[in-house]
Amino acid sequence: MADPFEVRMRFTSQLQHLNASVTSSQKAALYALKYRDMDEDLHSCILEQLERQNSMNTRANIMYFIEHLCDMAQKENHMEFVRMIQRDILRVVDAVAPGDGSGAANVKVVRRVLAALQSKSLLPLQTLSDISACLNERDRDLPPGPSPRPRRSTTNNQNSNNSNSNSATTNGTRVLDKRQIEQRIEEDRERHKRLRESIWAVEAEGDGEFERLWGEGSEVGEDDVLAGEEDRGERRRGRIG
Amino acid sequence: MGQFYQNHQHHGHFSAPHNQMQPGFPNQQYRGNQQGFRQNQFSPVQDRRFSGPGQQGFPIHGQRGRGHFSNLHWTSNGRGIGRGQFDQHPSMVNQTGPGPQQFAPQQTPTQQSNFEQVPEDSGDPDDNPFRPSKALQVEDESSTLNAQQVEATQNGVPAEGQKMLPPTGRPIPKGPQDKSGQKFSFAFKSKAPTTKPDLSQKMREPAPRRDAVSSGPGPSGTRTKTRETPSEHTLKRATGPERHAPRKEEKKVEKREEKREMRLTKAPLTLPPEFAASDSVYFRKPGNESVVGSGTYGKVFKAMHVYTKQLVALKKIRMEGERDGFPVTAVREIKLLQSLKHVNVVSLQEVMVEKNDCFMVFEYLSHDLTGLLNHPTFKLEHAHKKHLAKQLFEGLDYLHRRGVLHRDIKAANILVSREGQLKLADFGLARFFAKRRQLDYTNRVITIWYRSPELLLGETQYGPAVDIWSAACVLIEIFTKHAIFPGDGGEINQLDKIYAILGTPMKTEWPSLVDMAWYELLRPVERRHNVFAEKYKEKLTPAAFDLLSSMFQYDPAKRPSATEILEHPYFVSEEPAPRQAIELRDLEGDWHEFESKALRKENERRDKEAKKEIQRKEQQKEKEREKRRSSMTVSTERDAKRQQTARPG
Repeated sequence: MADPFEVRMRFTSQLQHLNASVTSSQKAALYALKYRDMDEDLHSCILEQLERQNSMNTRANIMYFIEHLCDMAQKENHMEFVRMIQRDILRVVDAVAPGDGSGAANVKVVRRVLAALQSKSLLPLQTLSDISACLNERDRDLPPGPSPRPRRSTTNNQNSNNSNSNSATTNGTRVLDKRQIEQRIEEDRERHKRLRESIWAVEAEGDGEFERLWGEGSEVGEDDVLAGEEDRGERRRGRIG
Repeated sequence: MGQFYQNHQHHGHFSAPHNQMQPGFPNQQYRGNQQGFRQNQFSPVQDRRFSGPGQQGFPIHGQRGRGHFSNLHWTSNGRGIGRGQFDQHPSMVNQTGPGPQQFAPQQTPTQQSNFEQVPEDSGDPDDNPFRPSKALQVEDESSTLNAQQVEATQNGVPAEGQKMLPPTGRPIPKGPQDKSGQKFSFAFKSKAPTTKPDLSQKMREPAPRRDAVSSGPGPSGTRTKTRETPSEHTLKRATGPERHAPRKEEKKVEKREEKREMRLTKAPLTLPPEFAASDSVYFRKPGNESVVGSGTYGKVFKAMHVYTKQLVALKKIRMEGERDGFPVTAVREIKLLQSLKHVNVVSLQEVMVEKNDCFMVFEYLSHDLTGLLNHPTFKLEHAHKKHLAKQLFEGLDYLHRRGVLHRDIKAANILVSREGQLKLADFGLARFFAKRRQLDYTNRVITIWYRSPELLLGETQYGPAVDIWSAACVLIEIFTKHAIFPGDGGEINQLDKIYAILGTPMKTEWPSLVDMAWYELLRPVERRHNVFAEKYKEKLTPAAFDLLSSMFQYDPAKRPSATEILEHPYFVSEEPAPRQAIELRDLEGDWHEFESKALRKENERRDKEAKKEIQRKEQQKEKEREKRRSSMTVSTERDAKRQQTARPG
């Protein structure tokens, strides 16, 4: 049997190094399920990492990881993880997208993950709508215009990189640095790519495929006429047919 | 032109008889050729593998590789008179020696006639020596295709050379006529309606005319792997002459034929030596001299068709680092381009495979907008600018109507001909979009200076408005010669550049702003005001300013479509009316971003060197001065040391 301390350390490290790839989330989730007898311990690791001063991106990645964990826990029929997440969901949301504005960029992440959990019936609808209303308020509370991140000078671009590279603080709030933003952009793109990979998939049974094709069809439009005319032109020249 | 490839086959056959005289080599070649036609077209990979040198195998393999290519091109042949036809004779002549003139007239320029001529050829007694012995021929006939193939694989047996004949499936020669015609029948039979010839013929017939141009093989006298005619290849192998020897003879023969062949309406082409030596039908200057563009996609070369003298741009498809074979992005680009046909969209003439490289062959245009706008002296008049702008939006209008997003509109991707005609190019990022539904696309598109704010803020459900934004940026460049948002390459800085001129976006003008994926992430630091009018109103005509203001709206839904833009007063009513920039005819040289960049770099380099030179000289002076000084100090130091050492001593 593995040393509980070591398991904890390893899992913590995995959480800290999560990235946008599905495999990294799945790897950590598999690890958690492998040591499911220590589930309470591992769950506390998740909370700990969320509430520690990890970067905004790490917290977002842990949020996405939670979706994977609940998903796989359900499949493995080890609902304890799901129950604990449900119990602590408010804490999780508060940690990922704090109300002070520093986690504003994570609000969309939280929304997305919660919606996904709800659609898999891993989260009661009531909880979701409660949290959603709360997040809306948070959105509204944000001061309009200026963002909670350091001023980026437009006049001296060369310097802006250096001046922002370490997370400075403005007006006492913790802010994002340029590298973090760029990392998030890349990670979101990566996630989006994954999302698009399954965009075409239809269930094997039922009329899903038919419905999709039917929906994709459209009335004859001017571009169809245009395409037809071009085809006719080609035919006349004897290239086709 | 297309004729070339047909000829390959002929050559192969002709060389075969010759081979009998020179056992060993010829056989293999013959076989190789045949196999090439049969198999290679299906397995290019194999070609590659086989093309490796092997003592015996070389000829075959070389031919195989070529067989593949020629197959690709095969379709185009069979029509028109080509130089290839003439080539055929020379090779025959070379090998057979006797009576070249007699052959020549009999062969008519068209493929059909070749077939018909087989019997006529029989009349030529000179051919007899080359014809295989009867026994051999019989044997040939009896052998099946399979057997031949098997034999073909065992190379190097001299006797087999005579067996080469079987594939043709020609009847056993009976009469003296037949015998005399042996060589010819032999040669042409391969084309006669046996299994193989049928195939080749079939392939030839449905060929679209268009391809014919492309299919022309490189001029003769090239290396084994190139698209030279097989006959020449074999010739070289067999006789081992220097490369150019055979070509000279060919030319002689051509002349002769011209005299005899009255039906020949077109004078045979004589190529300048440069073209004649070209490996490819598209001649390009060696090395990097012909490069007119380069990017992540690969390189673009300027080239000239050796026969039509037509200029083309060859876009080489990068295969390096492609683990999964032919890049799917290139397939997408080709498919897209093939579906497009508009005066303001660059036309893809063909796709060509050559020496294991794949090229997209485009019409060539001398300039692009970047190059033109950066031209040291040439100035566009306002009417010219308007005409260019109009063409740009006519091209875009066409694309958007056809359901295509270009996704890389920028000055460097907009080509301009010597007549002032504008064409959109580089469809490497383009895709079809769903007009009636909003789909999800990647937002990592469009060169960042030309990228619209919604893309920068992470939108993945976008449409033609992204191209309109890019086009607006180009328009500014046409008017002012300078990019409007020259960021540092990062998303954050790019948005700042936009905010600095257009002000920070507001929810009132762009309701879906807050739904952008990275809205929170990239929130502006402070509120800015729109200074577009301040900066550009002076530089633009009233209508142009109005048009650009509408195109630079944050809300993509509010930007005008290309169709609407073309109806704007700027194009419709405001003076001056658009006028084609035919003055470009007199502009010397080609002006692309690539060349202007190179020029700039060259200038910078010169400046640097000049500075360095100055520095070096100064340093030298300084050193000399130092030396003088140090020599003095050294001497004094020495003295001091001496004194020091002297003291204790």
